[in-house]
Amino acid sequence: MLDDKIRNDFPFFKNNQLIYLDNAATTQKPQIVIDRMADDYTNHSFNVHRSNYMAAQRTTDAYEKVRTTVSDFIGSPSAKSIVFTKSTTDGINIVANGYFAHQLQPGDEIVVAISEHHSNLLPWQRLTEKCDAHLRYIELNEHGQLDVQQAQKVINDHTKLVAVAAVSNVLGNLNPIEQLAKIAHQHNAEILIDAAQWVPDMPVNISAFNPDWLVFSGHKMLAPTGIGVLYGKPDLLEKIEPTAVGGDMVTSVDRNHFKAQPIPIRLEAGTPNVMGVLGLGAALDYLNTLDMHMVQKRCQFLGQFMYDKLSALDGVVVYGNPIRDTGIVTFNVEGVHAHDVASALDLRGIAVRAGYHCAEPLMQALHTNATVRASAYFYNTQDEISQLVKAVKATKEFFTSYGH
Amino acid sequence: MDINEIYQRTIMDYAVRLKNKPLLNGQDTYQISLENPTCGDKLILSVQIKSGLVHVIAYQADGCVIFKAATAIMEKVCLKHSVTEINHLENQFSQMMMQQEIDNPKALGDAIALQAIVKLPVRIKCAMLPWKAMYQVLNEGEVDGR
Ligand SMILES: Cc1ncc(COP(=O)(O)O)c(C=O)c1O
Repeated sequence: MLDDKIRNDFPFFKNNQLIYLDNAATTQKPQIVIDRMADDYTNHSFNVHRSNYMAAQRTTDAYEKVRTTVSDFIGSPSAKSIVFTKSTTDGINIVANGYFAHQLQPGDEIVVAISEHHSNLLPWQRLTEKCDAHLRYIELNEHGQLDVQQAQKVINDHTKLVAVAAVSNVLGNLNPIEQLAKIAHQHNAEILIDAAQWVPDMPVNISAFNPDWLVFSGHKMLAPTGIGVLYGKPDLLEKIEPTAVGGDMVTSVDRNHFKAQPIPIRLEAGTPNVMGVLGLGAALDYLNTLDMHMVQKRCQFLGQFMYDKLSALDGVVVYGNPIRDTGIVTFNVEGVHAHDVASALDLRGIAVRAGYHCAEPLMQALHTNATVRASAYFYNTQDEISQLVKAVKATKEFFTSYGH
Repeated sequence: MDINEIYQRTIMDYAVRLKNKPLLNGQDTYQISLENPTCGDKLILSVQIKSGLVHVIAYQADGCVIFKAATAIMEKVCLKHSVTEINHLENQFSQMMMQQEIDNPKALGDAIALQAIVKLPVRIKCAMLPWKAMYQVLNEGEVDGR
């Protein structure tokens, strides 16, 4: 079992008093990632896949080794399926603009959940509009979970893609993605999983349900910003028309034509984010030593504790299913705007996020225009959550005293 | 920093008392709708200009305390002033929020209380929104409310 001592791995907490509960936005970095990146910057700053002296080859090997580490981390059958991107957003846009833009016909349908992050909504909105296709929504049921029965009706033979988050960045619950994948595949539709909030929090084994596409970001799981992962089935990756072409992704070029490299390199034009990839590798190695089952247990425990304590407060509305899967908890204090709650907490040294959380359609479905989100990662402590709960209570009392 | 340094009594009082007023229509009325995309403060502002003065101000304001207080104060400070005067006030208010010297703080009336928000930079946009809306509705003549 992970305990509070795990914090000692993170220098941020030695240097700062902040109670950091905005981990769904991005995470702090453990010393081991910082050290390995410092070493890579110091001793291994070479370009990959081009320079053919031994030192550069070692960097290329390290880079390619991370591809395997990522592949194993999510239970992908082959490292060929792993494309390094900038981020979740980047990965989804590559699939939308490099693949579905060439596949989609008028009248086709793409299905998303009402709770999608804008990253997994806007590319599909724009694409369906451009192609005269339709965008359909999976709604929430009365427990604030994706409604599988309704999904069964929305997904049909016109559906070409179901694009859903495994874990909503607002509601924090694990969605029934295995069931959705089954339904999608029954209709010969593909399924894309936005795993930005999933891969950081629990063990992931995609061979269990065989999604066609899966995307996530390194920075939400202890790695640096600017590095993300796109998983795609190899035969589908083959069909992507690279959204960027240029150096590194070709085998030969003449005056008029070029011959592209095999996947996945073909999809990584130009000098990639080498240091980002190596940093991601360091983060995954660290998470592997902790064991993702333990990470999940700890996140779930902290999330459940937070949910229970906050919902016990008078005048606090907590969203989503009462059984928690992750450390994310979203709430509102009745009569007080989410931004005022967040500022009041900020003034007490607690960092949470307030607003739409890049999920405006969900806010409309929840009949609110903003919420407060506190998101714990495994390095947070129960004591920090208790301080949050106390501060929320005090905040409510402060604003209520003015007749709010 | 203590919460009372930001959420001062003046600010709280204005925010609590803010009442949305039915938007105007008819001759010489102008309307604009603005929001802060990151937080969801929303303002629909309509004004009527008569003989060069802002004669009536009405709005639908939905958002946080700082935004609501700023809206109510802006109304009070701007009412019955000319476009030129209001442009100057808007400029002074912006200067104040950017921690610059201003020539006549008194003219800003209770808007001076919002200077406290400078200490909480992430919220400056909330205080600026109504002023920005007023400036735009007067100068860019967005939508004629008729
Ligand atoms: C569910 C979900 N999808 C997508 C994203 C976008 O991730 P990024 O900004 O790293 O591209 C996020 C992050 O906020 C997220 O939580």
